[in-house]
Amino acid sequence: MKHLWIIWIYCGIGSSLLAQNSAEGLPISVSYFSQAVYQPGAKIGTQLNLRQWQRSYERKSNTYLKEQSIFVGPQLGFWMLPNDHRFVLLNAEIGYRYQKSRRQTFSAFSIGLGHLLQSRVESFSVDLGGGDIGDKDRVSSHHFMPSLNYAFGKAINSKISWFSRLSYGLKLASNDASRAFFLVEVGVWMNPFSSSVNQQQ
Amino acid sequence: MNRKEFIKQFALLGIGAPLMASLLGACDGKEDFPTVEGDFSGKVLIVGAGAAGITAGYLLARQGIDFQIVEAAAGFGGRVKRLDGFADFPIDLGGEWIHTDPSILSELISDSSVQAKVDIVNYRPQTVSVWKNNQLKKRNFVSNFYREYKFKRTTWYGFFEKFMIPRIEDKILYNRPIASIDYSADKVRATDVHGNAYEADRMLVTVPISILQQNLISFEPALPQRKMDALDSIDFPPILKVFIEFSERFYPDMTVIDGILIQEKLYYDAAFGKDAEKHILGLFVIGDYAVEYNEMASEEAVVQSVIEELDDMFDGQASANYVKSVVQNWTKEPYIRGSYSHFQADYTSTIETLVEPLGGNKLFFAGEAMVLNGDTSTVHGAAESAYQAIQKIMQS
Repeated sequence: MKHLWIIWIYCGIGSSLLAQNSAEGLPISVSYFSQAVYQPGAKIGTQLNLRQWQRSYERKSNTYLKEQSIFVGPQLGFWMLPNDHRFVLLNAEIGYRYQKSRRQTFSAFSIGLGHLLQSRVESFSVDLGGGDIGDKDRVSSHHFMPSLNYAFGKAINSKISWFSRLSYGLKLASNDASRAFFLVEVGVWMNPFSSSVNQQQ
Repeated sequence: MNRKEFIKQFALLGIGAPLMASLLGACDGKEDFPTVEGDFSGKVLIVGAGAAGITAGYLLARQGIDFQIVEAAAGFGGRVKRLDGFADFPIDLGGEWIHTDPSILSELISDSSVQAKVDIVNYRPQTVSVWKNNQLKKRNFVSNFYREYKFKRTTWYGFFEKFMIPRIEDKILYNRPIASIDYSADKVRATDVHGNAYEADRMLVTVPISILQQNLISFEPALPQRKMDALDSIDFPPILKVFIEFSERFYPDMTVIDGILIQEKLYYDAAFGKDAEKHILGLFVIGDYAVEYNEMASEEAVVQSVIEELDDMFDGQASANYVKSVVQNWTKEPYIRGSYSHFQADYTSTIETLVEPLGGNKLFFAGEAMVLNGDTSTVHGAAESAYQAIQKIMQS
């Protein structure tokens, strides 16, 4: 039941912020999301700015802008270990991001709180006649997963940026099985309606 | 780095088999088993009824080739051994983990008419700790990368017993330790310690390499120096397993001594994933860690030492919950004398030298140390080596 409350809160906050940001267009991220190359996954997300500001700085007689923002971002991710584990992560994060106009690169730091659904294959059978694997006995469990995240990216144009991101998350479990995850993302931010890369991460 | 190279590198680091294969779970895949066919029609003598010897006999039986297996011990299995009645599940006293994709079990049987399934535990410990400098520290992140497999309701011994032994049972002679092998004549001749002689057209030696390293079998002519050098280059360290029943569970799924990458001594929940009600803790010790146990005066002393260490780790809960225990010291088994092969260097050429037939294709070798392009130091690797050897015999 507590997990439904979390989802409800996420939806409430998200829809409220979405209304505030709708005029700027909604950036969408799509990424490869995984613990390792052989544990494939995917993630989609968006980002809603709570506050934006900018300041100028000089470098080699030129003036540039450093655009900064405080943002929140709901995300839905999935990754799996073939024939083994499946993970679904519903995550919400709040963070700080800055983008330098000189090279159109950006960095973002955030903390997240997620709800992790884990489905684990406890046992299975092997057909000795043909070697087929079947009768998978799965066990599911739910966990909170706080995380620390760092993203780095570069705007390709006003509508698309690429980014990579590293997350350190802690799967919280009551049975002494809490454990850390390092998750890697590589993907793109897209905002077809944006007139400025500043709206994208 | 592929899986075999990975195992090789870790073997060089002295890391035990339990973790080696599994760290690259993603590299799991079906092995390329050779097709056993050829024109050979003589008699084959197999020395040893371990995983390699059993598999070799099984393959010859299917080919309709006459063969005989002579085993030194009173039973089959070699380094796979089962303990019944200790817990509410059968315990693997020897080879325990399946260090590759379990579908290899089907390939080992290689018979599409078999109508049977085997239940497998997806062995991914959820709680992992390290005991180092008198401190127990959680290392559950290992669970993200470490995966192996185990039998859920049976054992390696039970697998061979059910699916291979029925075809070869009447071909095995027990309590016949071979003392000498003469491959100088047209026929190959083996003589056991009781003076019984066995003659065949081909002979497959599947004894542990410790038996060859320690010259417990004399060969006529003597084994070539290059083969002896290859044998001597392999480390065959001591190993010991202990299983203890406790009235309550107080331990994590796995506790590694001295560091995650030092897989030479570890405690593990032997009942993991087995639908068992009893709390059975296993201890796997190999290499230098096993030496100190070997030097203890009795099995009771070994258990006492283990309980004391567990009490230090878990605040006295081991002695408070102790019910019973069993010790399997493979180093003291007269026909085993150690664990499994650890290659020092030049992995591939060493194995090629080891499996090289002698006497003009009369004397062949197989076993866990002699797996060409396969998984050395594993049970399925030993069985795979039998496929390779029997293929050579059939084409010889």
